[in-house]
Amino acid sequence: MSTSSLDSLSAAPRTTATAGTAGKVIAKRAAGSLFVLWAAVTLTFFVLRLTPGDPITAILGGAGSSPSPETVAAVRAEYGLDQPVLVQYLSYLGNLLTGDFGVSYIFKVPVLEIIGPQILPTLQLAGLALVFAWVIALAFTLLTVGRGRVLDGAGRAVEVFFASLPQFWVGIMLAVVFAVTLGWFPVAGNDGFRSLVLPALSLAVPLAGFIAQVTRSSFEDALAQPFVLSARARGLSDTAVRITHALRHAILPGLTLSAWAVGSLVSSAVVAEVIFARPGLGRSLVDAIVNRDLPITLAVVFLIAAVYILVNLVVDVLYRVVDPRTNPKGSAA
Amino acid sequence: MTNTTGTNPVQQPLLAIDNLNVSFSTPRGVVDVVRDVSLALAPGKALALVGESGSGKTVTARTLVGLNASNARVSAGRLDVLGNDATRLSERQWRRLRGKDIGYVLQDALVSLDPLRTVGQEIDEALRAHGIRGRAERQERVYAALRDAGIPDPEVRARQRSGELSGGLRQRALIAQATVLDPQLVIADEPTTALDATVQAQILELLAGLKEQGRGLIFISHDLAVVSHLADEIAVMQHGRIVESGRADEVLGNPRHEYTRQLIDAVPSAAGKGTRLSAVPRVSVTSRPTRLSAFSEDAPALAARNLVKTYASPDGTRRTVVDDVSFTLAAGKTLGIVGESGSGKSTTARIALGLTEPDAGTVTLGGLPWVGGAAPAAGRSEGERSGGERYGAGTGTSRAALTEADSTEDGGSDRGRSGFRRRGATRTGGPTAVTEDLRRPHRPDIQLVNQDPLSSFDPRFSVGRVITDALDAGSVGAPGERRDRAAELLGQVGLPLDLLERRPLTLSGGQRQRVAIARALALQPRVLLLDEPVSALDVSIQAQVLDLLADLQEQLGLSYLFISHDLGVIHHVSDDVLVLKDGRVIESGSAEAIFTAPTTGYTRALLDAVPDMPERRPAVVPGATPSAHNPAGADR
Repeated sequence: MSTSSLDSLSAAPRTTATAGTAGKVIAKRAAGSLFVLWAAVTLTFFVLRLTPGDPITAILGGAGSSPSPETVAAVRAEYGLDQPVLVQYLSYLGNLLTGDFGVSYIFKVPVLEIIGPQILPTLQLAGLALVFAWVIALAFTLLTVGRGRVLDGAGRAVEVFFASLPQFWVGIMLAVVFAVTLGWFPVAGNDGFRSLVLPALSLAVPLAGFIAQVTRSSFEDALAQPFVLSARARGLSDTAVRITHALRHAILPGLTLSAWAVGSLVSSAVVAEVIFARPGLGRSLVDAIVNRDLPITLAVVFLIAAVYILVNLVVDVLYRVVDPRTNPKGSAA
Repeated sequence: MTNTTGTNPVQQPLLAIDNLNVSFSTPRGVVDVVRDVSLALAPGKALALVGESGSGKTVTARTLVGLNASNARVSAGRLDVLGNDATRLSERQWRRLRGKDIGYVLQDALVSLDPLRTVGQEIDEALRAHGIRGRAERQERVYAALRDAGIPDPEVRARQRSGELSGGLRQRALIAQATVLDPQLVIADEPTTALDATVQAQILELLAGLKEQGRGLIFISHDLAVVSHLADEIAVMQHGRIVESGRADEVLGNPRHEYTRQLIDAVPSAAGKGTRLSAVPRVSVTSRPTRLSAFSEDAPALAARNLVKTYASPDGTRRTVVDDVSFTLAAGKTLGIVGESGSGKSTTARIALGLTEPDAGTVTLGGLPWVGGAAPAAGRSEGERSGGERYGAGTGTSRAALTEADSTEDGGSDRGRSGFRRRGATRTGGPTAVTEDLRRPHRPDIQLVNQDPLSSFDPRFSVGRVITDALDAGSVGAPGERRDRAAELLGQVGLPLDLLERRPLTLSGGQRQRVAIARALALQPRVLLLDEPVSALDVSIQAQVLDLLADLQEQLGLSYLFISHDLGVIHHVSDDVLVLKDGRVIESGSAEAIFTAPTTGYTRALLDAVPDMPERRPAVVPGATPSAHNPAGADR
């Protein structure tokens, strides 16, 4: 998935919203979403075909097995792999339209049965990671920006440090300290909220570094704006100005970043899922790629693209709530 | 709310300040910004702080609300604000004063009100901050404040954000949020800067009303005409000190200090037309343009005929931004374009520059077809012909001349869009518009200088690179020659050569504008389009830049299309004037005619809105050397 296509997707309605009516915007948006889904699936489909090796080997039990030519031919026909690639592609698309993701090469059961139960844990993980990331980022911004050179510098340094941490390292450290040594949280598994905290944190810490960096610079910009001085001159306290005025301006770029972040959280969730032995889409995707299980790979890519699109939609709505200037009907709000 | 702070017995002075010093500790050491400033203000009076940027006006004002940056150090022999010793106020006590007893109105309402919040929310915030609980009461007071500030339908306006309001309403809303709690003292920083003349007049009236209600008013302005209208007392600041202070009519009518006199001389006015406004020496241009150009010196430098431009509105209707605008800029002359925001000035300028394609109409540049439908051959002849009947030759008949020119071209009927189309068709057999490919070789002939040069410089470039870059664009000379030419250009705009290595960010506003002019001159243009070139500058710097432009015009034979909302500036620089309103030409003619005998009510209203400077009385101060700083022998 390229992030640039998503950027343009999320940016386009924001700029065109003022020029067109609501209906046009929605139609454009829906068309764009469908295009992204189609492009994601198509690209993945053909890229996977281009990789060397025969899917039949995967279906028939891996490189170690030696099936007879008759078996190979029979299976090939059963899975439609004897057809030209274009025909395979079109029939895959056709099935997709009816909600049929095909049958897993490895598990020989419908794809949805395998990845269906994985979706929720991954979304929970990504969602909580995003919440944690925002809490950490906002705490840093509110507490350190413009609070003197020492605090400011310290805040900056910690953000860069966080942003540069690899997720797997954070995960292992968190597991060692809070699960193994202190025993506050379970080491592994998927058993309620407590088991979600450490995996989510391991994904949240680097992301918090990123969000805090963009939030800090826009917060600084906002604090330097004349309207902040106006608010102070009305008798507001410094803290009140930070929260009611500067913060609202500061979260806008972070909000845009979040749309990208959720998508990437879903795909990078695998790190936390492996370390904390959790089920999830990320693990399914890695396993499927390693085993050349085409249908599962395609389905997971499709889901991740769908999450990207949904989150971009939500962020767009949120953006307009925070910044009514972008809303063509904002004057009525 | 009842506290030792904030209560002030009536008729006590609102302010009593002796020897105020404010300094800032920076990494490079302590910087003194305000030195030995003494001020006093009684209720119902207005005190103006006057001086150029960096003179300490704003810091002085902010000291009075305790809102200087955290690295500021304030000391004073006496700093009495509304009966409180302001040097001893805690942050909590300051907060009780701010908004409630002291209203502070910042410059530029667009950025001084939170753009994400409605005006009502902003005003309401002041009420909440001072503990007014009742929701209904607060709402009523928000409406009342807006109404008092002269906003007609407060219920609607309160729900709008500053970006949705016009400049005038926005400024009123800003004043409303500062005065909602009925403060005894109102401080306003450049309250009318960047406003159109008519709006400025309304805001001045509003501020005068505050004064009449018995409030004390301190305001900062670099516009002496505004000051003369509103102020009872004036304090002139320079380098952090008050160099002269006293009754307004005394200071303006009989200035004692050299600096005050310079400021007054710098104001462009009818009396000073054709004279130098500043004391800076004349620049001299040693090299004359040598670039080969098809630009004809006999034709009008720029001639626009029946320009029309419409844009689609969000609701699908089309808005006419430029509506049948024609003008002629005679070679070597200045045509001033006047109009309020939204009058179509900028769009007209963009069309003239060949950046926006008009829906109809043509522009010729030095006799050559430049924009719009005429094919090259026909355009050529048209240009030459218009050159013959040059418009605005110094008398008030130019409007007639203009109409005549149009009617001859149109065969005496059917002006405007349809006329244009027919003309294009009959003359050339097809309305082939001038394309950018055809324009590009002539681009050097017309160059732009705009209000905010900084945003048009690449901040990573040095000044030298900014200028040589323009030369690169015109493929002029070898790198070494370009370097020499950049140095020469810097000299032409009166800047020292050591600026070549500096970054634009480190320059002052006036220096930046000079660099922008140097860059515009790099390709030896014949026409400069000056879009509000001095609007962001202090009056003294403005005077220097206007003088520079006059020198360059005289020595290089340049033609200027000069856009400004400041009628004083337009009057000073223009040979001919075009008044625009709602995209239409309301009036055009020689500057003399327009300013002395406007024929339309609109122009008259525009002129009436401009605050006049009082007549200067002859200097009676011994030792004042008349015109010593004014080699051209100005307005005395």
